[in-house]
Amino acid sequence: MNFKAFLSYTLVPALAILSSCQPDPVPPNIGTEGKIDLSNYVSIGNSVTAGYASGGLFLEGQKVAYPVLIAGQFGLCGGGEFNSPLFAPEESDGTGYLRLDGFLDASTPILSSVPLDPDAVEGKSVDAYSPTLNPDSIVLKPYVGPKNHNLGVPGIKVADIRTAGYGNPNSFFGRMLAKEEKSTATYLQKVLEQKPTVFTCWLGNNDVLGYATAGGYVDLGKITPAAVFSENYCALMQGLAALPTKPRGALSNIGDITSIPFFTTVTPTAKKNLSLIGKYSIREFKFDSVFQNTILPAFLSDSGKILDTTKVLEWPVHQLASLNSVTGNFEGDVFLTLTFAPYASGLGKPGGKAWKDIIHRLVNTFTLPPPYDVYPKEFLEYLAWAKSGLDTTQPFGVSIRNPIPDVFVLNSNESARARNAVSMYNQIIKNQADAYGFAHVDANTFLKNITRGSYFDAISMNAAFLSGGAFSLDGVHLTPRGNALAANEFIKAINAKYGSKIPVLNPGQYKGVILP
Amino acid sequence: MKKNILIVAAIFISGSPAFSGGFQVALQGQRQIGMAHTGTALAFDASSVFFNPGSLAFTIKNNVSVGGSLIRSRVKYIAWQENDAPSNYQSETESPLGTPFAMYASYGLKDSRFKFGLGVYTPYGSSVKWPSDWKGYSVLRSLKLQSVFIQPTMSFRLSDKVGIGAGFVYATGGVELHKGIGALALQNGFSEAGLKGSANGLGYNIGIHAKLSEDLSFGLDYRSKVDMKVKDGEATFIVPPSTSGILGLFPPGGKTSFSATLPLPATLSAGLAWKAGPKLLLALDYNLVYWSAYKELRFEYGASVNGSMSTASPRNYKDASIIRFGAEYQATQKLAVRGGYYFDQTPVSDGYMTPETPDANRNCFTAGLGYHISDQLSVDASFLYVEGKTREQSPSDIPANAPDSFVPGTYKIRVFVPGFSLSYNF
Repeated sequence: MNFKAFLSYTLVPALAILSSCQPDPVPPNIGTEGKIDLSNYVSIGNSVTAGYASGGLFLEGQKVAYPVLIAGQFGLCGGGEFNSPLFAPEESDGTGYLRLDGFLDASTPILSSVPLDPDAVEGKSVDAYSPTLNPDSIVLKPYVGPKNHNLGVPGIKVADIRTAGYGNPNSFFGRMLAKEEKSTATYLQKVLEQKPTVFTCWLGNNDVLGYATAGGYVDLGKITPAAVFSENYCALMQGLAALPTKPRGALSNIGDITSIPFFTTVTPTAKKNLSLIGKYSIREFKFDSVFQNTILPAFLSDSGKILDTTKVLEWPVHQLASLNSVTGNFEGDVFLTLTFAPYASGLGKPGGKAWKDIIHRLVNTFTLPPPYDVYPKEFLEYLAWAKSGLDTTQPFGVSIRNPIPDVFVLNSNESARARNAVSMYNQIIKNQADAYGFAHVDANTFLKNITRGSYFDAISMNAAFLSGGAFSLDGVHLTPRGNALAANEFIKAINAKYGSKIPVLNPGQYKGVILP
Repeated sequence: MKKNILIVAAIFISGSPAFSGGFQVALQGQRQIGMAHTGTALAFDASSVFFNPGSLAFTIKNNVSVGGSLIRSRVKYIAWQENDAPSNYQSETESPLGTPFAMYASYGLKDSRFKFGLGVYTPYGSSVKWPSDWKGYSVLRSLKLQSVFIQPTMSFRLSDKVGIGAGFVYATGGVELHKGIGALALQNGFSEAGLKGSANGLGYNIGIHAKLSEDLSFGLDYRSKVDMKVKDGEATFIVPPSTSGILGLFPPGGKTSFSATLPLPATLSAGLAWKAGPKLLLALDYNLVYWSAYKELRFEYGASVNGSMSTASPRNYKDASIIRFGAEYQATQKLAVRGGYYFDQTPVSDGYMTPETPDANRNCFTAGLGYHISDQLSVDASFLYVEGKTREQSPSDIPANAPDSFVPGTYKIRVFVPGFSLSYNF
């Protein structure tokens, strides 16, 4: 054998195999495939859409709102400009937000409030107690900047979208408007004026969320009747579909609110604590009927004009048993809110901290009309306390004289009402998506999957408070990572419906809650 | 002389990217690399200490050789593609240079049937570095596995036809692994777990060499498993202070010790060498690597980490075969030309492909040159090109009990390895 043989025995077959080598794998082609015009994207929605997180709207959160992330992906496929109504750098704290400062012990986080940015806000303060803002209590400076495409308005309900002058009660909407529009414009008008070529719509959460987060306490949040929801939602979709731009869009339904950390964090521990004490049932205290309907009107009525302590104290002491106090079985679909966390360890022990805070808070939401406004709030507080009939030497949450305030408890009737509303709304949303051929995002299933716990890129994700990765410090709104996951749901729905190939984001590169 | 060699060995950095099946490094002799790393039936020189101690007694001269390779590897990654959820994400390892080496010495009295040898070589190792924020950072950011085997060897010629040999292996090395913790964000980036420790283990290498005819030789070799044990490694967790403090998720100060055992699997090799002509030598080798010893990567911690004293990630490797064809052509009196091909079967089952060894069946091509500068001195150079088959890790294949150990996507590995050695005969 010679060199030629050597070649034919070795190198020739080797070269043959070498020539069959594969090229490096490359990512697939992305783009709209001409199926969808991304030049003018407008996002319709509420606080989640605005980038609200950890109990507030602030610059950092606005920048990672899910529509911003979606727009970034659209941008890879020829999408147009997308601006949010960002707070200016000097107003970056926005409405203020919750901050995690540390832990008292392994299960008790210390949350504090970053205050309102005085440069962003005029007027009264945010209701820091509730994870949903009370839009009445805040006046924001108008947004000045390039044309806004993110119409996420914290607090807005479907019930509100055709209300003329909604920019006055809801300053998040008001700040997007020119001064002269504030008293006249409806949200629906402003949406249609934008003439989107593509839109996302995630509305409806607030039509039930306020009710649920206030423990079914109807004066803090009412459930929008399905008929009203339907009428408004249909008007919105009809308007969008009739636009000359013939927009493509994705409508998201809303998730089962009782699966969010706001309801699932305190509940198991509290149930355990109560079961350690023994088989007790808990009692709710219908604060609304006692305080709002009986004490305050009486106190402020013309017949009770003379506002002196003696007079007030002559009022009969209310018998709690007769005031809609409910004995509930603390089993089944009963939820304690995240806002109950500071008081949960006091269950079964004497103490009145929960009531003290509640009375203080509620009293501060009242503005006495003249001439009574000369009386200090402390007096009202004293009065409410004296007349409540509470006996805080009794075990908290166990005794009928020291029950759990209703605002912290979503009982099984209330949670059923909330769920029922969600399912009716979701049916309306699905019907509208089908009727107009819009994509449908199943946020309900998406949130259920998060609750169940899952992994992506080997990173665990669940609905646990603080550590779960998806929910921010208020237990309701999403973290940047949660926003990335939500953005992907919209993108997937759009691709599925319209046959586009818009790439998804990598949620692992966005953050959950940053522990101190 | 031998002492000096050891010192040189200690100075060498022996990290080498995963480029043979699992984390085996088939770069133990430049002459053999050129011939597809065959060698079980070859009796070239002192390198038989590694390839087959039974062949050593048939080497003619006493010999000292020193060689090394430069490994440049690259793993390309494409994110998993789902219906309606295309991803344009791609990443690539940062190609650290690996420098495995092999040094051998042999000595026997003239006409003695005994031959003694010493080998210092790096048969296992891996060095992979991904961008620290790549998609799979929660599984791996970087891995460096090093091992140096020191093998004193004795070989005995039973007859003119048959030789046997045995070597004792002392292995020393280390491991360093870094992975992100995606569930724990920091102000700047994400948390990280780092594991670093030195390891050692014991083993042996036995072989038999038979001359079937004047032109045909047969070799059989068994290199035992070596359990590399890390006894007192250092585990460091860069995590939010509260998690290593009041929350007690991580050890105080983020530091604790760890222990681990990494099995370097046994290999059974059988080879044929055929002198097909006065100038042509052909070799065929078959290796069976007992990778099934690698069941899981398990770390035992000195203190509780995230509520557990240990972490385990399944590997479930399967035994794997390698088939090698090599040839050497003596082009001139001084110059030899070599070539070869081998097919390297992956030990990694579907669903178990990790970013540390994004393993797939590999086609490997080799070429080499040898040059005799003088009767005593020769130099050898080799080049190896490895191409792994493009391989997909599908989310549905990922074992349900280890969702935190694997990253779905498409991987492809390519490796370029030039090498060089110097050999002295006396």
